[in-house]
Amino acid sequence: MRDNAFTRLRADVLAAFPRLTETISGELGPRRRELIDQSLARLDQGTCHIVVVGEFNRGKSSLLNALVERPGLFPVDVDVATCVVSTLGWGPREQAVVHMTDAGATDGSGTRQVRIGLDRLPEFVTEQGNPRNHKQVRLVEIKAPVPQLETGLVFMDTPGFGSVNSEHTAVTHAFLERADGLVFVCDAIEPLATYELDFLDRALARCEVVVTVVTKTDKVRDPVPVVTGAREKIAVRTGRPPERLVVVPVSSFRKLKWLRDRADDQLLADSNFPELDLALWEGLATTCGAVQLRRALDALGDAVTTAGSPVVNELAALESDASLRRIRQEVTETADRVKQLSAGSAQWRTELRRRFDQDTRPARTALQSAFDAGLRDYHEKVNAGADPAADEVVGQVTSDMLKALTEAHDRLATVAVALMEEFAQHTSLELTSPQAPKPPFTAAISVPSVPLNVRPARFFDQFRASWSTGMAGVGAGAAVAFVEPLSGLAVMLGLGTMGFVHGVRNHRKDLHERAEKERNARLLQLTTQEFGVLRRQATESFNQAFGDIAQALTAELNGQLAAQQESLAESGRRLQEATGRTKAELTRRRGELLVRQQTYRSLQGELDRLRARVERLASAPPRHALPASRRPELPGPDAPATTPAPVGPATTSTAKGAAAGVAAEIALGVTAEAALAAADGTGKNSPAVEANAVGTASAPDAGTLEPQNPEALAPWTPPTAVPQETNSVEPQDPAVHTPTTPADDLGTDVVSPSAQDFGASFDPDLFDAP
Amino acid sequence: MASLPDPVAAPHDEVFARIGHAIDQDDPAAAELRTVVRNARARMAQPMRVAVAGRLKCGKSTLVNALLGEEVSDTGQLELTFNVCEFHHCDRPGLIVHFKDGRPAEKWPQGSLSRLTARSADGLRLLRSVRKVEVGRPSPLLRRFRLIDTPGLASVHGTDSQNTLSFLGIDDPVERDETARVLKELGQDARSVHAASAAEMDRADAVVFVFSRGLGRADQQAVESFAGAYGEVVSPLKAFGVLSRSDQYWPPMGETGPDGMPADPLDHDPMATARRMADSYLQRPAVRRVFRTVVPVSGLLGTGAQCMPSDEFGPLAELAKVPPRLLADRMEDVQMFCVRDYPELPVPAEVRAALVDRLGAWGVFLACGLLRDGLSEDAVRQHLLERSGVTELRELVLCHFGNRSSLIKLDHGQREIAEEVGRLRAGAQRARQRPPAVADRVAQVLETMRVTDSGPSELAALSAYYGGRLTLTEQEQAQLLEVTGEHGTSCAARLGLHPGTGVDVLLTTARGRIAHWAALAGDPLLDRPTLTTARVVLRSYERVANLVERALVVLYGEDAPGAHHGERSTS
Repeated sequence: MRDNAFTRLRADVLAAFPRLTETISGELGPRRRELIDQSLARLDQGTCHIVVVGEFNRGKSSLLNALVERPGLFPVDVDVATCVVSTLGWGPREQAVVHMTDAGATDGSGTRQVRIGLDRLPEFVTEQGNPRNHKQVRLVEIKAPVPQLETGLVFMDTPGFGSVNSEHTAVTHAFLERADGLVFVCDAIEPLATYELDFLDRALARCEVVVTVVTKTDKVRDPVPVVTGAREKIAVRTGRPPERLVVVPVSSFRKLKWLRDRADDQLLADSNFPELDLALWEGLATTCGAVQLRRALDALGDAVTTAGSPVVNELAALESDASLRRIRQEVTETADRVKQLSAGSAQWRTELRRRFDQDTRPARTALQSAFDAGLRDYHEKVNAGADPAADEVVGQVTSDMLKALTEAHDRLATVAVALMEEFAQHTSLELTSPQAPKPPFTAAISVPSVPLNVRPARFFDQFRASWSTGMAGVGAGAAVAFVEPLSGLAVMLGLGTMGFVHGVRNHRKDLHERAEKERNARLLQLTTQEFGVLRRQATESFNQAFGDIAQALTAELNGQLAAQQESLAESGRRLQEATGRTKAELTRRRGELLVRQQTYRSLQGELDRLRARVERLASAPPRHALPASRRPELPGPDAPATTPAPVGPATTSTAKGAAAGVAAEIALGVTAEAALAAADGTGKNSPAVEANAVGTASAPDAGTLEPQNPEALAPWTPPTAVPQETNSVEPQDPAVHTPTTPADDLGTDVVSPSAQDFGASFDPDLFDAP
Repeated sequence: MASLPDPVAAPHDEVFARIGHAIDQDDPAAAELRTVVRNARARMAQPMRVAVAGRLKCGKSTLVNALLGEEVSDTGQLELTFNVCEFHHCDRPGLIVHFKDGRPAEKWPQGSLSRLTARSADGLRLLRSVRKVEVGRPSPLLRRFRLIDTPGLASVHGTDSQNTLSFLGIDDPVERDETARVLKELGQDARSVHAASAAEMDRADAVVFVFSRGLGRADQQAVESFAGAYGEVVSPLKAFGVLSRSDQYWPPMGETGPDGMPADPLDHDPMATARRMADSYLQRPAVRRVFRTVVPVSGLLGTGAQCMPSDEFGPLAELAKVPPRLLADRMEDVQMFCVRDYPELPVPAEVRAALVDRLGAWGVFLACGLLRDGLSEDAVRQHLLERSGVTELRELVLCHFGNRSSLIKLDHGQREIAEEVGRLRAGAQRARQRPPAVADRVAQVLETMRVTDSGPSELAALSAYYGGRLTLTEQEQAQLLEVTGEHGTSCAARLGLHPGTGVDVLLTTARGRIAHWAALAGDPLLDRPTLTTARVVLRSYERVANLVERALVVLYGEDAPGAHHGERSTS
């Protein structure tokens, strides 16, 4: 499970962090270093959440055990059914934390945690050990030192959808809204049933990565008909072309048997688990994977830009005394402006808060009216003679509420992303002087773009926090809303639903013996009360998410501003130093700076190549790419610019806005290059540098650059001069020097026709098996 | 399996005769009522009708084949699966075809039906006109029962018109299209199929409900709607569940050993697994309210054991030469067993596959073991049949339904009569007239009998028991079942003793029971249903004691020891 394009790329990006920080440590201020460390931690601890769903007795537990190569981890038995949500993620040692409802909890969270050994899992997670969840378990968090999970994969085992308890369906759907992927489990013994197809149809509209796994292929004489049938049925039911559906038949039995001695490779191949791993990762790479990597590369790009701007400023200032004066002046002015912006009283803060409040008002209103509608509906049904406590009726209301809340949260995130983009533009300043050869560095606050195929809310969750911070909240006994691993509300509400329905059920049990009329009236009252509680919880969750996001927005901008300030201070310091230097000193200094500039150039090139690989990974392979027309509409009027972009080898599937952003960033990289080259009046580029430079331009183009940005490239012309300093260029990624890729493989319009320039854009992943 | 005259049958027959007397022969208002009573009375003399019900394609026909021991039910042809098929005893196999237009039923030669297909115009016309097919077979089981194979019961929830086929429980869209096409050609629709099945269940005296897989939502819904819609017909007394395809739990996939690996198939018993599933199924109140028990059965193995041609035993014997460990290892992966070339196995893959088709993987493995032990073909067949659960199912059908068939039929008849009376009264009410006198008279007779006759009161006691309304100890519950004929209708069986038990032991036991239940019946603290039941059981034991006493007199004459010690005697 570990060796695939995504994990390799992730490892490469992780490796780029220390190399980069070391290389530019001289220019890296403490604030910027802090941001980089945060970003590294975020990537390192980043998680991909996969919901695993399957009807009772479809071999779900065996599948999970075989996936993580730990026989016996999840209890397996023919008559064992999962009754609560459990998550399985990496941890240094085996243990499980059970979160249980406890009204008397001292911390006011309403839950209490119990640590148990994995051998006691059946007592809590199975219908047998915990019938109808009478232990009121909200979540079981399982950790195990399983290498397969080290890259941040978290499996979420949900009670399913078709099982006997209808509220389970609502919980599963709530999880699905936020998951990065879904593994749907059916088996080769029974064909897919209608309700399973209904579920899949809904899931496919909500979740980008859906892998249907047909288990138990070893148990039947010929699994092919069922597997083919499954694909056809899903295609018919969902209106998607069958070849775009990911249906993987597997045999957990064969995989587990292979695990005994890991010797019989035929057995492993027959189990088809390698195929499942591939399908899973291929899909995940396009969602959470790409988002995480982009975010990390954004941070690194920011670091290179801000750290490099003093070099650019200084180089430009060394032109003449006049330019030095001018640039000093500009840097001082810019620093003042940034200082103002950073000040606690800066107007943008209140403005941001106000705008966020104002723009999210529709979401708030929609949420409350959805609640009202749900309750009205419930009362109507009861008035029409429905049992006030019927699982189906209650389940409907709760699932409606969940849906409304999820939508509201999505809108919040959409607004947040849009505002963030806007305010980033407002607050970021040019860190290099216009005097520096044009065009100078531009906005250094980058907003990670929301990929088209990721819901804003999910994206924002990933952007905002990682699993570890969520869990830190648990340790501190934080409020319920921050307990959940996914982010705010899905789990809380999901679990709330379970607790809630459970409560109603208990009441109903108590009332069972009483008179029918009295019982109904009382039940209606109780149920309405419970709905009130749920509504309060939901509203609170919304408010918390609101505050949380607003805070995250401000914090992010603050952090970036501080780093900018740092960079400007460094520019100022250097210019101050330069003022008193002799001519000889200046010439030497210039030489040093040119070396530095080459270093930055190569770093930028490396980042661009990594980014190109990310984009290629994210521009989903055909079988995962979904037709743009089938995309669910983003809720709310504030949807970011995520109009579909054509999916093709030369463009990404990211949104236009996003693509433009990336293009701008590439332009930035290229122009930085040009600036450095131009500043290097006497310098001459070596062929290696040339290759590198071209790589800089062509590699991003392979993935992202839109043709309408030629002007960004215009200033750059292949340098002809070869500077003496090229020997000191940082050693590059060895892969870069493998000049074996035919240019065609890049699938790009190579901007520069220069020969031998493809070597720099070589990407090992191009050779990955499809 | 021999058809013994049921000792309780005769007195109950009088019940309907008495009701018949209460009806004026010339009363025009009672015409319908007379027919109902006549039918009920006629039924008392006929074998009981047992319907096999369940969702479409859940293995009903395979189960019927297994029960009858011949491949009588055509499981392959889609056109024929939508007809109700009734099996009755007949020395020479034959078919009676009933038509929708009411014309007289026709006798057709055996096998002629399966030659009909919807492809020819004539065949289609004929198929369309068929309402029901009666198949006569010389099967011994059919002496005691008529078996009715119903096409398919739907879930009552799915009542919207677009979903009529999912309403029938067909989940597969491709299959659904095909089914819709065939149904259309036959001039039927999903509703009519369900209606036919439901009507057949209404007419049946008892029901065997087949599930293909435990606890799934579809089955769950089917059971619930089954209980909801047929709550009257179906009680644990008259219905039980069958978990078909139980051999699917071999090779083991749900069970794991201590290392978390799948359990060893060598000595794994899938029936035990299925039993466990059935038991957990029975834990659900919804299921317990409807079914007395849920029996695991492998219909495929049961049919194969009885119907596999002798020449197929050849490759089976070849396969039996493989050491069991090796065979188990190879068979653990059924798919590979059926397709891969294994030089160490003496039989080619396609023959192995054919064997698996015939007996199921577990059946093949079992049969090899039995052949290895040197059993003859017949002995192997017998063993396989027993392991398939079909033998047990037959016995259960005979005991549970057979021993109480007259009670069940009595109840069925009375219920129908009560319904008819209700209809008469309702009709009169709508017409703003006094209900006809005959209705009141019959209702009164019914009421009197409910109080005095042992049959209905035993039935009421049993319903109370199955409805969970009684507070009895486990021993008392067992005695209630025994005395009402769960294990047989002889005195010994009713006392829970072996058939050869001496008369004196019988008498002592009966008197002991009488004492116990008399005490119970006099307990002022007991709740009402239990008290009523205690009285019923007491009377039943008294009847048994009376019989034993009379037997004593026959054996030893008037002076027989203990003959007059009984203080009570029943009239």
